[in-house]
Amino acid sequence: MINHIALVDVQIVAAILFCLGLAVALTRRNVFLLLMGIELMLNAVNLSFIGFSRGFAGAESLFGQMTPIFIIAIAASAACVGLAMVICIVRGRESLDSDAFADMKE
Amino acid sequence: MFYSLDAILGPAYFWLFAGIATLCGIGLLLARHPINGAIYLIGVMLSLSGIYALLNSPFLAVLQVLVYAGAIMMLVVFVIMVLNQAKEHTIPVFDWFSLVGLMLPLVLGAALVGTLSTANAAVFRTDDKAALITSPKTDQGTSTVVFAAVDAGEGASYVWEFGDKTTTSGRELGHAYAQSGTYTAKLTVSGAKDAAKNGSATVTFRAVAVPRGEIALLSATMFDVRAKGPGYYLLFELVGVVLLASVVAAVVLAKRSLESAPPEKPAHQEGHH
Amino acid sequence: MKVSFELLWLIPFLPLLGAIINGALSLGGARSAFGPSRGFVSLIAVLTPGLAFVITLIAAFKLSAIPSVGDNKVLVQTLWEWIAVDVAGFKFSLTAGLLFDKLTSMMLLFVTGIGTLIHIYSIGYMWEDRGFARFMAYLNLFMFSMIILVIGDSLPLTFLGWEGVGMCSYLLIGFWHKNNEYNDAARKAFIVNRIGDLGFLLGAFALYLVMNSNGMGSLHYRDIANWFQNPAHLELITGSAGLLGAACLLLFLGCTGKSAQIPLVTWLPDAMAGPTPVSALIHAATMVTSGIYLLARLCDVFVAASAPVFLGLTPLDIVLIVGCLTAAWGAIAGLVQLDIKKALAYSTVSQLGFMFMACGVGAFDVALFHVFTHAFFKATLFLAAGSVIHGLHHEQDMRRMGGLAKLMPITYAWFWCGWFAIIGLPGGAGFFSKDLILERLFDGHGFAPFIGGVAVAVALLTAIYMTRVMYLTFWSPARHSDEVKGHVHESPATMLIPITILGFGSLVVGILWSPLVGAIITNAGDPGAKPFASNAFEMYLQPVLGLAQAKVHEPIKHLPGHIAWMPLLLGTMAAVIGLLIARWFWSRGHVNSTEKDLVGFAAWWTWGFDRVYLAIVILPIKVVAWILAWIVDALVAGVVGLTAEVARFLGDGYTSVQRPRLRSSLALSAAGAVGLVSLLLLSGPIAWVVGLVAVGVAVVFLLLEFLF
Repeated sequence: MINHIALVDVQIVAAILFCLGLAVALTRRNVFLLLMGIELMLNAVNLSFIGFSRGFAGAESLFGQMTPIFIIAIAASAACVGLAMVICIVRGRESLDSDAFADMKE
Repeated sequence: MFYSLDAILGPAYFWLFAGIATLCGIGLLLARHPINGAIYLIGVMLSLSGIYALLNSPFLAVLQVLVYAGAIMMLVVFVIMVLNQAKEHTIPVFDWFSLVGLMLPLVLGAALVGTLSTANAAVFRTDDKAALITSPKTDQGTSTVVFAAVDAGEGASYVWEFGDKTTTSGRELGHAYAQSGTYTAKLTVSGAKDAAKNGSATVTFRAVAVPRGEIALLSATMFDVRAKGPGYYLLFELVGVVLLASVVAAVVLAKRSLESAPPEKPAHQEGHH
Repeated sequence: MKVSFELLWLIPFLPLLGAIINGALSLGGARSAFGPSRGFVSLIAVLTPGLAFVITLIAAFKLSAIPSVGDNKVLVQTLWEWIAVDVAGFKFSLTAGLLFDKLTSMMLLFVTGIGTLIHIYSIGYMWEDRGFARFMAYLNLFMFSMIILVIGDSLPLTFLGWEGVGMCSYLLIGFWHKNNEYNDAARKAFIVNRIGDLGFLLGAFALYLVMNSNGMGSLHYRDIANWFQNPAHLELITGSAGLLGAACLLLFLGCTGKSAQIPLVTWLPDAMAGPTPVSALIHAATMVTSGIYLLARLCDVFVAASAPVFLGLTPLDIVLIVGCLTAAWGAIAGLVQLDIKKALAYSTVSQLGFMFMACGVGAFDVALFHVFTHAFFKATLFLAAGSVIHGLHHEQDMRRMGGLAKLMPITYAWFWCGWFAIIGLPGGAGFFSKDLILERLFDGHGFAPFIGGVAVAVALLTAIYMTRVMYLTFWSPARHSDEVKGHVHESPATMLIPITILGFGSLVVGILWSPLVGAIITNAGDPGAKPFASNAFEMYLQPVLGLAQAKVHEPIKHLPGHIAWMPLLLGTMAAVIGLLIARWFWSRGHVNSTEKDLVGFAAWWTWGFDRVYLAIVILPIKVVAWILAWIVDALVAGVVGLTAEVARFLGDGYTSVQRPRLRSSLALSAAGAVGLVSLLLLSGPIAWVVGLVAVGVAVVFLLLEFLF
């Protein structure tokens, strides 16, 4: 136990953060908070990958390092695109409430 | 002096960062204004960066601060500020609809945490076509797979071959698999009084061994900027904290200047496209 | 005796080459205003059949020069291995080859010869037409097909030519394709021909099966002839009498299709929609004779099928009866026609009936002689009629003709020769051939003499309607329409020269088989043969057809007495009486009808077959088509449409849910993902719990959406 942490503990933290992010995404009405919840979920997933990468030896660990890099890049693009969409949509509606976007079909 | 605290500092740091991250996450969930939520999210990211450093992933820790907490969150904060000026923000934090939505993460979280802390060997998709064997199943709390043979009466002897080159005899027993994979276990029944119950059968299943390993942490060198090795993580953490402080300051200052400025009448509507 | 002649392939190939060149020129000049150079096209179009004719002559001489050893001497050329099948114990092989025996040489000589002349005629006739090159290409293609039909050494190769002439007939009948009526006529010709083709194919297959009963199945003509002539195969023949009879009937069906006999007769009169050279070449001289050619080629088969197949009649009896009925029908129809070309068309039908009557009593050589003479005089008549039409600026209705004997003397002269021949007045070619047919009929077994009597009546009718045509067109006072009056002119030389040659032929070719001419012509280059008697034609074909004919009746050796003279007398009397009757009715040129087309009895008789087909064949097909269309529309389209509707309903279904909140969409997808993963990938109680909760959350969200 000296200077060690159990792999499972890392996963538990990641799981908790993931569920928190999911909760934020599903329950908040503000569109920004929705995007932030998604970012939180992606962060949790990153943590999970890195935890696993440290739990295995050899080549498997590289996968756990590489994937978060991709995820960060993709999260960045997702955030950009999401924000651009938010700007466009919110301009017409004068509201940041995601329930107001429900009139999509009209 | 720090070295002697090493033994408990490593895990302590980890749980500290984890705790901060969780609290910031809850803060995000309950934040009233998006800018508050952004600050909490930056907090989560910075603490995660610390955890990455502890887990010997320096590049990712740096990347997390620079790209995630730095670039992305700056973008988010900027957009919030741009759109905040002309729009009203009296959106309630929770409504009864959210309560229903909370069910899913709650259950999912409970399931994940429960599964991670307890179960060990998961048995996936057994192809059970043998009449002599009941499905192998997991023994909760341990890493063994339990095998049971159908009772063939007195005098019968049961010999199991577990597919990982081990053999045992016995009617019901458990076996721990060191590695995940697809195994074919074979049971041979002999010596039963009822001749129809003699014979052998196989069952194919997938056993997953959830790794219960340990991870070495790098806590000791975190504060040691003079030692060789990656000691500059702390600097990054400090940079991140400075970042966070500047964002908070900007927000606070902006709020103050908005409250003190005379109310402008919205002369031109921006939503004319 | 078989001798190989390596130039035989040029005979079919040269017209094919002409067709390709002219076709390419026609396609190349399709965009220009006047088309390709007509001089060059004419040169190619006439040169290629002309050269084919020359090579045919060479081959014919070579054939005669083979030292005769009594049997059938032939020139052959094997081209290549066409079909070689060896599958599951079934072996079949066929070589493509050319066969040039006496029958072939006789057919080819007049096919290529008359063909070349008509090509020359077409130059003048079609000179002003924009589609000149296309016409010449089609004509050359037709020559190629017809030559292949005749020169092929096996049934499949003949079938190739058979189909080819059918297709070319379609192309040429519908040559002026802007007119829908002509297109209908072309289609009708093609489809009716197809029915005959089916009979041909099935008959060929059945024939093969008959021959294969002792493993010697083959579709080559020489093999067929040898097999059926072999006396050792007699039991096999009687054993498979039913199959053989079926084969013969089916093959005869093919012949009726090509030669326009009942029941497949209606296409020939409609085929007059094509230009006159087409009518002359295809529907008088060559294509319609391919039916008789097939019968002659397979004479051994038909003669061997001596078992009754239908109401106690053998296949040859059926041929006889069909020929008789058709001849009678055609003659009566020809009597009431108003269009000159239609009149000649029904005359062709009637004369073809005569030829089949001859075949029906086993007198194949007589039938072929009538084919030969008919080619000459019918082509003359058609070409001269074309000249008349040309001179009257495309007037075809005989009610507006008349007085042309003075206005178009050369055309009149040769038309007169053709008329003289077809009536059967002594001296013309038709006299000899028709007389021979009557002779054979009266000499035949069973009811053949009765048919002979009918034939005499038909000869009478022939005289009547042909003389009617003469009166209405040439001898009666002129009744021209106003725009033509005074502008009637004779035709150009390119048209008149072929008419001259053919007209001359129609007077003269009777020599080849006439009891009036003595042993003048000797067989050139064959010192061993007897000098030709006056039945040169008969002797020429004897090696090919003799054995078969001998089985049906004893060779007639110019029996003295009433048998020989009665047909002569009857025929001549029929001709003269018919002439006088026609003179009495139509010498003024008066026709009892001012309608645009046929009415009353004429219409009923002429179009009777068409109406029968309409009721029996076309209406049921239309009904079936209507039912199928309904099925497709209602059921198939309905099912497809139903699928589309279901998809649309499902797709639109969710969008009909009120106010889908962003959050609920997100929640549903998250719940779905979680549920799927846990239910499908994981096992154990946890998985079920999580999965079911996820599904529950999703359901609750949906309900909330619906309610609020």
